[in-house]
Amino acid sequence: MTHHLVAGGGGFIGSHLADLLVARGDRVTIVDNFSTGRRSNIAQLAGEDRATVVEHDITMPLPVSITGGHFDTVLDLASPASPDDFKTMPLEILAVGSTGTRNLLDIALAQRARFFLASTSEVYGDPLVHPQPETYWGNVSSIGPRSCYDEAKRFSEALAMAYHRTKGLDIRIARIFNTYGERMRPRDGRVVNTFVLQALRDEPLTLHGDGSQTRSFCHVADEVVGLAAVIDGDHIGPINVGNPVEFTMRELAELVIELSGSASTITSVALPPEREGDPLQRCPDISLARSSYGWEPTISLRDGLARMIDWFRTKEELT
Amino acid sequence: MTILVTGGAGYIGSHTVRMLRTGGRNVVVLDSMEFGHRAAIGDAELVVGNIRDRALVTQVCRSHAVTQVVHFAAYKSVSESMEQPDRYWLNNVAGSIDLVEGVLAAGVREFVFSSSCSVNGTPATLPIDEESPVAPESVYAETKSMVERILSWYGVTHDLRSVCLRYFNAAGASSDGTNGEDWTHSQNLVPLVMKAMLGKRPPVDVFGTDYPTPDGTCIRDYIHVEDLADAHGRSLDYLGNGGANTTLDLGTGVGMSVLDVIRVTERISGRAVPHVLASRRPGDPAVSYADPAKARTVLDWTTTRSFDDIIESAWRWHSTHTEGFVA
Repeated sequence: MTHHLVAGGGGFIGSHLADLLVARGDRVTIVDNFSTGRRSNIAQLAGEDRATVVEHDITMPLPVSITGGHFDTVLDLASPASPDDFKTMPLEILAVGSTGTRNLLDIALAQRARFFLASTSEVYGDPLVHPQPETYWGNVSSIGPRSCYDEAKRFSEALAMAYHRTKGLDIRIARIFNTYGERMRPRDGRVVNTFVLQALRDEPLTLHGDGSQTRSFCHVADEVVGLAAVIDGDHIGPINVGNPVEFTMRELAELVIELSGSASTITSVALPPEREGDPLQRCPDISLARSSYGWEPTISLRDGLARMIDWFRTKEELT
Repeated sequence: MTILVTGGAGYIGSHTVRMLRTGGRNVVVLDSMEFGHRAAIGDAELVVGNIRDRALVTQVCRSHAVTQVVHFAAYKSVSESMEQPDRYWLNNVAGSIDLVEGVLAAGVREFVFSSSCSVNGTPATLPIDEESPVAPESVYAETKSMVERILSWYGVTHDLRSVCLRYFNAAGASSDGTNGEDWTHSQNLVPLVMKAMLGKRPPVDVFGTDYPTPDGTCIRDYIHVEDLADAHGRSLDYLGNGGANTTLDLGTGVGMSVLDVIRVTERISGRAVPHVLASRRPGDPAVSYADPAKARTVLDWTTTRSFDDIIESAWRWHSTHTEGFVA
């Protein structure tokens, strides 16, 4: 039975990936320090004998419960990843992308396991090429408010490639684009959950500027199917995994209001200083994932938002 | 004496090709290979080409001494047909006309057509039989209905004799585990359930849990693909014996709900089926199942494979071919 070490398995994307792996019959050991991950995200795995949880910060030396395990893959999905986290935890983000990733690479090397890095579209920064293919090198500020995350992930990619080149480690890199859905933290500064929260509280939805910035959003259930394809597949990567359908922020706000039946209005506010450097447009070129793995998103924004709104309504504390 | 099978490398087509050949008949497959799989038809003779190429169709019929046709080749996504109707009109309707003209030019007069119960739209009364009103609710269903009518008129103008087979929900895989549905974009419930269990697709959406059915979910008539294949062989015999134009509903006569499908799959696979309860989807009838009495009489045919057989064969196929035929 394939055994995966899922670092960050208590997080938004990590927990959905853990669910998928367990559902298909694999075994997972989740390691998470629950700084931004949540125990409620993996509550459904309690009592599942193919799922184990270890609470640990991977920037610290790993405990015997992990070093003594036998893993076929080591999956690195551990990092705070929301704009609010960039403000409050930049040092933790830089630590987990460097020391944390390196600890996981060493485990993979020691166990001859495959290492998988969940990288990000943030490596493209504020891109000058649209949509972004994997071959684009990016346009990234090394000193801006987002640099802690962008540069940490770029460093993680470099680290993984160096282990691959110098030590022959079997690695896979996926670049995750904006993902939304059930189990997002309601208040972490990302746009979709912020809008959903505001709509469910009948508060005005706050657009930055005129709302003409576009984003593409992938539902998490589609996202983790793509990540699993990369983990299982033959391509080292990096491979973009995201939904290429673009929406403006204004369209997103209107759709959230419609689907939630909210009485909210839409207001425009100036871009707050810490959001300086937010890219105006980002959209994945997913030709590689499509041609290599036949993967593409299947859940429309309308269907995915409806699910997420339902989840927030029934599962989250909104007041 | 050869049977031309268009779309013979597709899902139902390939099962039919195998069964015809097992029964000792000569077959030549015409498939564009846009979605077909060579591996699905073993060493059957394959001509890669389009039904819209009349000259090719006539030439294949002449060179292979074709006497009968089974016509599967068509696009089959309901949602896509609403977004790109032109492709459906051209491929499914114009393509069928080109095919018929092409085979008529070679003197072929016996024709079996792959139609769909979706020509009946939302049924007012159940079960659905051949007298139920024709009321397509999608471009896809309309193309099937139009081709049925066109074939009927070719009977008047050119003495073409045809059997239109209206399938209910085709599902399952070959009993030997070597052939099954491999279609990346399949929206059929059984492959979606299988792929969700294997982590190849997101959890299955159960669209609507408040229908007026025992468990609140939609009910459909799932028929084993090998039972369908069998009906095609019998339809060719019927035409060979001089049978007249007819339309037949191919179902089991028994409906299964979406949650039934999930429960049986969980029992057979021993695994949980990841699924999400969602709201209704517009255009889905609550209940649909066939009255297969006419097919029983005309073809001396009945389904012999159970719903468990469908799920067992599908699970065997999907769990051993997680990447389809490429694996």
